[in-house]
Amino acid sequence: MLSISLSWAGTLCPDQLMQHYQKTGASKWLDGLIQHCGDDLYHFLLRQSDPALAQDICQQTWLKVMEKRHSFRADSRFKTWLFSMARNALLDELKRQQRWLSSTCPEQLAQPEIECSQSWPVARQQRFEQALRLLPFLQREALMLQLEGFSVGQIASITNELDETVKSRLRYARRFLQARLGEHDE
Amino acid sequence: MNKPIPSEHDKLQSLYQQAKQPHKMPAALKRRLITECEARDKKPAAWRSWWQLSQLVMGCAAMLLLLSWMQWSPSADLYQIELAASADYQQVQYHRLVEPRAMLISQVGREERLQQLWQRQQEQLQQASSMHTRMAQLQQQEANWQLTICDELQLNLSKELVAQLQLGQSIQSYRGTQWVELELAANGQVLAIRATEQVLHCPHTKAGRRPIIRALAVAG
Repeated sequence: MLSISLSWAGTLCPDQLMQHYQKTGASKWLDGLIQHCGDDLYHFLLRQSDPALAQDICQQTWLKVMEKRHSFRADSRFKTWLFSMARNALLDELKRQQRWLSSTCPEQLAQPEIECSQSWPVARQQRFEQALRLLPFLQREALMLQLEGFSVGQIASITNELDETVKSRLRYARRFLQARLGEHDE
Repeated sequence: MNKPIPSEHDKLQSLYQQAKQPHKMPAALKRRLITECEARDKKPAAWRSWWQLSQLVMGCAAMLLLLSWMQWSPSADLYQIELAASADYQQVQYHRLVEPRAMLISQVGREERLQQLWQRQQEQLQQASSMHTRMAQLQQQEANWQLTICDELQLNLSKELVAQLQLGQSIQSYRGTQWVELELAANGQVLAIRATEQVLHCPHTKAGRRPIIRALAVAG
Protein backbone atom coordinates (compact mmCIF):
# COMPACT_ATOMS: atom_id res chain seq x y z
CA MET A 1 0.00 0.00 0.00
CA LEU A 2 2.83 2.32 0.92
CA SER A 3 4.73 1.56 -2.25
CA ILE A 4 1.61 2.31 -4.31
CA SER A 5 1.19 5.63 -2.52
CA LEU A 6 4.81 6.51 -3.02
CA SER A 7 4.76 5.70 -6.70
CA TRP A 8 1.62 7.78 -7.08
CA ALA A 9 3.31 10.58 -5.17
CA GLY A 10 6.19 10.35 -7.61
CA THR A 11 3.93 11.32 -10.50
CA LEU A 12 2.87 14.58 -8.90
CA CYS A 13 4.65 17.88 -9.41
CA PRO A 14 6.26 19.59 -6.38
CA ASP A 15 3.40 22.08 -6.06
CA GLN A 16 0.83 19.27 -5.85
CA LEU A 17 3.02 17.35 -3.42
CA MET A 18 3.31 20.42 -1.25
CA GLN A 19 -0.44 20.90 -1.22
CA HIS A 20 -0.86 17.33 0.03
CA TYR A 21 1.93 17.77 2.56
CA GLN A 22 0.42 21.02 3.75
CA LYS A 23 -2.92 19.33 4.39
CA THR A 24 -1.71 16.08 5.95
CA GLY A 25 1.85 16.53 7.16
CA ALA A 26 2.45 12.94 6.06
CA SER A 27 6.07 12.04 5.46
CA LYS A 28 5.39 10.40 2.08
CA TRP A 29 4.62 13.82 0.58
CA LEU A 30 7.77 15.34 2.01
CA ASP A 31 9.69 12.37 0.68
CA GLY A 32 8.26 13.15 -2.75
CA LEU A 33 9.31 16.78 -2.42
CA ILE A 34 12.83 15.80 -1.44
CA GLN A 35 13.02 13.40 -4.38
CA HIS A 36 11.98 16.24 -6.70
CA CYS A 37 13.92 19.19 -5.33
CA GLY A 38 16.45 17.83 -2.82
CA ASP A 39 19.34 17.32 -5.23
CA ASP A 40 18.76 20.64 -7.02
CA LEU A 41 18.78 22.54 -3.76
CA TYR A 42 21.80 20.76 -2.37
CA HIS A 43 23.79 21.34 -5.56
CA PHE A 44 22.85 25.03 -5.59
CA LEU A 45 24.02 25.41 -1.97
CA LEU A 46 27.15 23.40 -2.58
CA ARG A 47 28.22 25.64 -5.47
CA GLN A 48 27.70 28.68 -3.26
CA SER A 49 29.49 27.36 -0.17
CA ASP A 50 31.14 24.10 0.82
CA PRO A 51 29.86 20.54 1.52
CA ALA A 52 29.50 21.00 5.28
CA LEU A 53 27.64 24.29 5.05
CA ALA A 54 25.55 23.06 2.12
CA GLN A 55 24.40 20.06 4.16
CA ASP A 56 23.70 22.24 7.16
CA ILE A 57 21.65 24.80 5.24
CA CYS A 58 19.91 22.07 3.30
CA GLN A 59 18.82 20.42 6.53
CA GLN A 60 17.73 23.75 8.02
CA THR A 61 15.68 24.53 4.94
CA TRP A 62 13.81 21.24 4.86
CA LEU A 63 13.13 21.52 8.58
CA LYS A 64 11.65 24.95 7.87
CA VAL A 65 9.46 23.37 5.20
CA MET A 66 8.12 21.06 7.91
CA GLU A 67 7.66 23.84 10.44
CA LYS A 68 6.22 26.43 8.09
CA ARG A 69 4.17 24.23 5.82
CA HIS A 70 1.00 26.05 6.89
CA SER A 71 2.42 29.42 5.89
CA PHE A 72 3.09 28.29 2.32
CA ARG A 73 0.70 30.02 -0.06
CA ALA A 74 -0.96 27.64 -2.49
CA ASP A 75 -0.75 30.13 -5.34
CA SER A 76 3.05 30.34 -5.17
CA ARG A 77 5.55 27.86 -6.57
CA PHE A 78 7.03 25.47 -4.04
CA LYS A 79 10.51 25.43 -5.55
CA THR A 80 10.69 29.24 -5.49
CA TRP A 81 9.68 29.22 -1.82
CA LEU A 82 12.21 26.50 -1.03
CA PHE A 83 15.12 28.22 -2.76
CA SER A 84 14.18 31.54 -1.25
CA MET A 85 14.33 30.13 2.29
CA ALA A 86 17.59 28.32 1.54
CA ARG A 87 19.18 31.39 0.01
CA ASN A 88 18.27 33.56 3.00
CA ALA A 89 19.59 30.96 5.42
CA LEU A 90 22.84 30.67 3.47
CA LEU A 91 23.39 34.41 3.36
CA ASP A 92 22.69 34.70 7.10
CA GLU A 93 25.21 31.97 7.81
CA LEU A 94 27.85 33.43 5.50
CA LYS A 95 27.42 36.82 7.16
CA ARG A 96 27.62 35.21 10.58
CA GLN A 97 30.85 33.48 9.60
CA GLN A 98 32.08 36.71 8.00
CA ARG A 99 32.44 34.94 4.69
CA TRP A 100 29.85 37.02 2.87
CA LEU A 101 32.07 39.86 1.65
CA SER A 102 34.77 37.49 0.51
CA SER A 103 32.18 35.49 -1.41
CA THR A 104 30.81 38.44 -3.32
CA CYS A 105 32.46 40.53 -5.96
CA PRO A 106 31.39 43.68 -7.73
CA GLU A 107 29.67 43.20 -11.07
CA GLN A 108 32.62 44.45 -13.12
CA LEU A 109 34.78 41.58 -11.90
CA ALA A 110 32.74 39.38 -14.11
CA GLN A 111 34.31 40.85 -17.19
CA PRO A 112 36.32 38.18 -19.02
CA GLU A 113 39.63 39.40 -17.74
CA ILE A 114 40.69 36.42 -15.68
CA GLU A 115 43.93 34.85 -16.79
CA CYS A 116 43.27 31.91 -18.97
CA SER A 117 46.60 31.29 -20.47
CA GLN A 118 47.29 28.49 -18.04
CA SER A 119 46.43 24.99 -19.08
CA TRP A 120 42.74 24.26 -18.47
CA PRO A 121 41.31 20.77 -18.20
CA VAL A 122 40.52 19.54 -21.65
CA ALA A 123 37.00 18.47 -20.93
CA ARG A 124 34.41 21.10 -21.73
CA GLN A 125 32.44 20.02 -18.68
CA GLN A 126 35.36 20.72 -16.42
CA ARG A 127 35.87 24.09 -18.06
CA PHE A 128 32.27 24.92 -17.46
CA GLU A 129 32.48 24.00 -13.78
CA GLN A 130 35.71 25.92 -13.44
CA ALA A 131 34.16 28.98 -15.04
CA LEU A 132 31.13 28.66 -12.80
CA ARG A 133 33.38 28.69 -9.76
CA LEU A 134 35.14 31.81 -10.98
CA LEU A 135 31.93 33.76 -11.28
CA PRO A 136 31.12 36.26 -8.52
CA PHE A 137 28.64 34.96 -5.96
CA LEU A 138 25.62 36.97 -7.10
CA GLN A 139 26.16 36.31 -10.81
CA ARG A 140 26.69 32.60 -10.20
CA GLU A 141 23.57 32.59 -8.09
CA ALA A 142 21.48 34.26 -10.82
CA LEU A 143 22.84 31.99 -13.51
CA MET A 144 22.36 28.78 -11.54
CA LEU A 145 18.82 29.74 -10.65
CA GLN A 146 18.08 30.36 -14.31
CA LEU A 147 19.62 27.02 -15.27
CA GLU A 148 17.42 25.46 -12.57
CA GLY A 149 14.45 26.67 -14.59
CA PHE A 150 13.48 29.83 -12.70
CA SER A 151 12.27 32.83 -14.67
CA VAL A 152 13.82 36.28 -14.23
CA GLY A 153 10.84 37.30 -12.08
CA GLN A 154 11.22 34.24 -9.87
CA ILE A 155 14.95 34.84 -9.50
CA ALA A 156 14.20 38.43 -8.53
CA SER A 157 11.75 37.12 -5.94
CA ILE A 158 14.23 34.61 -4.52
CA THR A 159 17.06 37.13 -4.33
CA ASN A 160 14.95 40.15 -3.33
CA GLU A 161 16.24 42.14 -6.28
CA LEU A 162 14.74 44.04 -9.18
CA ASP A 163 14.24 42.24 -12.48
CA GLU A 164 16.71 44.61 -14.12
CA THR A 165 19.40 43.76 -11.59
CA VAL A 166 18.87 40.07 -12.20
CA LYS A 167 19.01 40.57 -15.97
CA SER A 168 22.27 42.50 -15.60
CA ARG A 169 23.84 39.75 -13.49
CA LEU A 170 22.73 37.13 -15.96
CA ARG A 171 24.17 39.12 -18.86
CA TYR A 172 27.58 39.43 -17.17
CA ALA A 173 27.60 35.80 -16.12
CA ARG A 174 26.72 34.50 -19.58
CA ARG A 175 29.26 36.73 -21.24
CA PHE A 176 31.91 35.45 -18.88
CA LEU A 177 31.00 31.83 -19.46
CA GLN A 178 30.85 32.24 -23.20
CA ALA A 179 34.28 33.80 -23.18
CA ARG A 180 35.66 31.01 -21.02
CA LEU A 181 34.12 28.20 -22.97
CA GLY A 182 34.58 29.86 -26.35
CA GLU A 183 38.31 30.18 -25.94
CA HIS A 184 38.66 26.46 -25.77
CA ASP A 185 35.97 25.60 -28.32
CA GLU A 186 37.91 27.17 -31.14
CA MET B 1 14.88 15.59 -40.69
CA ASN B 2 17.70 17.73 -39.39
CA LYS B 3 18.40 17.79 -35.69
CA PRO B 4 17.81 21.36 -34.35
CA ILE B 5 20.99 23.19 -33.34
CA PRO B 6 21.00 23.65 -29.56
CA SER B 7 20.94 27.24 -28.37
CA GLU B 8 23.55 28.68 -26.05
CA HIS B 9 21.10 28.36 -23.18
CA ASP B 10 20.47 24.70 -23.95
CA LYS B 11 24.19 24.04 -24.04
CA LEU B 12 24.69 25.68 -20.68
CA GLN B 13 21.73 23.87 -19.22
CA SER B 14 23.08 20.57 -20.42
CA LEU B 15 26.47 21.32 -18.89
CA TYR B 16 24.81 22.40 -15.69
CA GLN B 17 22.73 19.22 -15.44
CA GLN B 18 25.84 17.12 -15.96
CA ALA B 19 27.64 19.13 -13.32
CA LYS B 20 24.88 18.28 -10.87
CA GLN B 21 25.12 14.54 -11.35
CA PRO B 22 28.03 13.80 -9.00
CA HIS B 23 26.74 16.17 -6.32
CA LYS B 24 23.51 14.71 -5.09
CA MET B 25 22.00 15.37 -1.72
CA PRO B 26 23.58 12.89 0.74
CA ALA B 27 21.33 9.90 1.35
CA ALA B 28 21.97 10.09 5.11
CA LEU B 29 20.59 13.63 5.16
CA LYS B 30 17.49 12.53 3.27
CA ARG B 31 16.93 9.72 5.75
CA ARG B 32 17.36 12.06 8.70
CA LEU B 33 14.79 14.45 7.28
CA ILE B 34 12.26 11.74 6.53
CA THR B 35 12.72 10.29 10.02
CA GLU B 36 12.16 13.72 11.50
CA CYS B 37 9.07 14.21 9.38
CA GLU B 38 7.69 10.81 10.40
CA ALA B 39 8.24 11.69 14.05
CA ARG B 40 6.32 14.92 13.58
CA ASP B 41 3.65 13.16 11.56
CA LYS B 42 2.96 10.79 14.45
CA LYS B 43 1.99 13.56 16.82
CA PRO B 44 -0.04 16.07 14.85
CA ALA B 45 -3.18 15.39 16.89
CA ALA B 46 -1.39 16.08 20.16
CA TRP B 47 0.07 19.25 18.75
CA ARG B 48 -3.28 20.36 17.41
CA SER B 49 -5.07 19.63 20.66
CA TRP B 50 -2.38 21.51 22.57
CA TRP B 51 -2.84 24.45 20.24
CA GLN B 52 -6.61 24.34 20.59
CA LEU B 53 -6.33 24.05 24.35
CA SER B 54 -4.03 27.05 24.56
CA GLN B 55 -6.43 29.01 22.37
CA LEU B 56 -9.31 28.06 24.66
CA VAL B 57 -7.39 29.06 27.77
CA MET B 58 -6.43 32.39 26.25
CA GLY B 59 -10.01 32.99 25.16
CA CYS B 60 -11.34 32.25 28.66
CA ALA B 61 -8.72 34.51 30.23
CA ALA B 62 -9.69 37.33 27.90
CA MET B 63 -13.38 36.81 28.72
CA LEU B 64 -12.70 36.87 32.47
CA LEU B 65 -10.62 39.99 32.09
CA LEU B 66 -13.43 41.67 30.18
CA LEU B 67 -16.04 40.60 32.71
CA SER B 68 -14.02 41.82 35.66
CA TRP B 69 -13.42 45.10 33.89
CA MET B 70 -17.14 45.47 33.25
CA GLN B 71 -17.95 44.62 36.86
CA TRP B 72 -15.52 47.07 38.33
CA SER B 73 -15.96 49.75 35.78
CA PRO B 74 -17.20 53.03 37.30
CA SER B 75 -19.86 53.08 34.61
CA ALA B 76 -21.48 50.02 36.21
CA ASP B 77 -23.76 52.20 38.34
CA LEU B 78 -25.86 50.57 41.00
CA TYR B 79 -27.85 53.70 41.66
CA GLN B 80 -30.51 54.76 39.22
CA ILE B 81 -32.60 57.91 39.21
CA GLU B 82 -35.72 58.09 37.08
CA LEU B 83 -37.64 61.29 36.50
CA ALA B 84 -41.40 61.57 36.28
CA ALA B 85 -43.79 64.39 35.48
CA SER B 86 -46.11 65.83 38.13
CA ALA B 87 -48.54 68.71 38.42
CA ASP B 88 -47.71 69.22 42.10
CA TYR B 89 -43.91 69.25 41.96
CA GLN B 90 -41.41 70.80 39.66
CA GLN B 91 -39.64 67.45 39.54
CA VAL B 92 -40.38 63.95 40.76
CA GLN B 93 -37.56 61.49 41.11
CA TYR B 94 -37.56 57.76 41.75
CA HIS B 95 -34.31 56.47 43.25
CA ARG B 96 -33.63 52.74 43.18
CA LEU B 97 -30.86 50.18 43.06
CA VAL B 98 -30.16 48.29 39.86
CA GLU B 99 -27.77 45.42 39.34
CA PRO B 100 -25.23 46.00 36.58
CA ARG B 101 -25.84 43.59 33.72
CA ALA B 102 -22.35 42.09 33.94
CA MET B 103 -23.07 40.94 37.49
CA LEU B 104 -26.11 38.97 36.46
CA ILE B 105 -23.90 36.48 34.65
CA SER B 106 -22.27 35.01 37.71
CA GLN B 107 -23.91 34.46 41.07
CA VAL B 108 -20.65 33.42 42.73
CA GLY B 109 -19.78 36.04 45.34
CA ARG B 110 -22.48 38.28 43.90
CA GLU B 111 -23.52 39.88 47.19
CA GLU B 112 -19.97 40.58 48.18
CA ARG B 113 -19.17 42.14 44.81
CA LEU B 114 -22.30 44.29 44.93
CA GLN B 115 -21.38 45.56 48.37
CA GLN B 116 -17.83 46.33 47.29
CA LEU B 117 -19.06 48.18 44.24
CA TRP B 118 -21.58 50.12 46.30
CA GLN B 119 -18.95 51.05 48.84
CA ARG B 120 -16.54 52.19 46.18
CA GLN B 121 -19.11 54.33 44.42
CA GLN B 122 -20.22 55.89 47.71
CA GLU B 123 -16.64 56.76 48.60
CA GLN B 124 -16.05 58.31 45.19
CA LEU B 125 -19.17 60.45 45.52
CA GLN B 126 -18.35 61.54 49.05
CA GLN B 127 -14.87 62.59 48.02
CA ALA B 128 -16.29 64.83 45.29
CA SER B 129 -16.36 68.47 46.30
CA SER B 130 -19.77 69.11 44.72
CA MET B 131 -21.65 67.37 47.54
CA HIS B 132 -24.47 69.49 49.02
CA THR B 133 -27.23 69.29 51.63
CA ARG B 134 -30.92 70.10 51.43
CA MET B 135 -33.72 70.18 53.98
CA ALA B 136 -36.62 67.89 53.20
CA GLN B 137 -39.65 66.38 54.75
CA LEU B 138 -39.59 62.63 55.08
CA GLN B 139 -42.66 60.44 54.88
CA GLN B 140 -42.60 56.68 55.11
CA GLN B 141 -45.07 54.82 52.92
CA GLU B 142 -44.75 51.18 53.88
CA ALA B 143 -41.16 50.28 52.97
CA ASN B 144 -40.73 53.13 50.49
CA TRP B 145 -39.62 56.53 51.63
CA GLN B 146 -40.78 59.81 50.17
CA LEU B 147 -38.90 63.07 50.65
CA THR B 148 -40.26 66.42 49.56
CA ILE B 149 -38.63 69.81 49.29
CA CYS B 150 -41.53 72.27 49.13
CA ASP B 151 -43.07 72.03 45.66
CA GLU B 152 -39.65 71.87 44.10
CA LEU B 153 -38.87 68.20 44.36
CA GLN B 154 -40.43 64.93 45.34
CA LEU B 155 -37.92 62.20 45.87
CA ASN B 156 -39.00 58.53 46.19
CA LEU B 157 -36.58 55.95 47.54
CA SER B 158 -37.14 52.25 46.89
CA LYS B 159 -37.11 49.88 49.86
CA GLU B 160 -33.93 48.18 48.58
CA LEU B 161 -32.16 51.51 48.47
CA VAL B 162 -33.38 52.41 51.95
CA ALA B 163 -32.16 49.06 53.23
CA GLN B 164 -28.79 49.59 51.56
CA LEU B 165 -28.43 53.09 53.05
CA GLN B 166 -29.40 51.76 56.45
CA LEU B 167 -26.85 48.98 56.09
CA GLY B 168 -24.14 51.56 55.54
CA GLN B 169 -25.50 53.58 58.48
CA SER B 170 -26.15 56.44 56.12
CA ILE B 171 -29.67 56.80 57.47
CA GLN B 172 -31.34 56.07 60.71
CA SER B 173 -34.73 54.54 61.18
CA TYR B 174 -37.52 57.05 61.31
CA ARG B 175 -41.16 56.65 62.03
CA GLY B 176 -43.90 58.73 60.56
CA THR B 177 -43.16 62.14 59.15
CA GLN B 178 -40.28 64.35 60.09
CA TRP B 179 -37.76 66.92 58.87
CA VAL B 180 -34.43 65.64 57.67
CA GLU B 181 -31.25 66.91 56.16
CA LEU B 182 -30.43 65.27 52.86
CA GLU B 183 -26.85 64.86 51.78
CA LEU B 184 -26.80 64.76 47.98
CA ALA B 185 -24.10 64.09 45.41
CA ALA B 186 -23.70 66.28 42.34
CA ASN B 187 -25.69 63.77 40.30
CA GLY B 188 -28.59 63.95 42.77
CA GLN B 189 -27.81 60.66 44.44
CA VAL B 190 -28.76 60.46 48.13
CA LEU B 191 -25.69 59.84 50.25
CA ALA B 192 -27.15 60.25 53.73
CA ILE B 193 -30.30 61.24 55.55
CA ARG B 194 -30.02 62.79 58.99
CA ALA B 195 -32.73 63.91 61.33
CA THR B 196 -32.79 67.63 62.06
CA GLU B 197 -34.57 69.94 64.45
CA GLN B 198 -34.73 72.66 61.80
CA VAL B 199 -37.85 73.33 59.81
CA LEU B 200 -38.00 74.31 56.13
CA HIS B 201 -40.15 77.30 55.18
CA CYS B 202 -41.64 77.32 51.72
CA PRO B 203 -42.57 80.92 50.87
CA HIS B 204 -43.43 80.27 47.24
CA THR B 205 -45.74 77.33 47.69
CA LYS B 206 -48.32 77.15 44.92
CA ALA B 207 -51.77 78.43 45.80
CA GLY B 208 -54.19 75.76 46.85
CA ARG B 209 -51.51 73.32 47.95
CA ARG B 210 -51.21 72.40 51.58
CA PRO B 211 -48.02 74.04 52.90
CA ILE B 212 -45.56 71.45 54.07
CA ILE B 213 -44.63 73.44 57.14
CA ARG B 214 -48.26 73.50 58.19
CA ALA B 215 -48.65 69.78 57.65
CA LEU B 216 -45.62 69.20 59.82
CA ALA B 217 -47.10 71.37 62.48
CA VAL B 218 -50.30 69.33 62.36
CA ALA B 219 -48.30 66.11 62.56
CA GLY B 220 -46.31 67.47 65.45
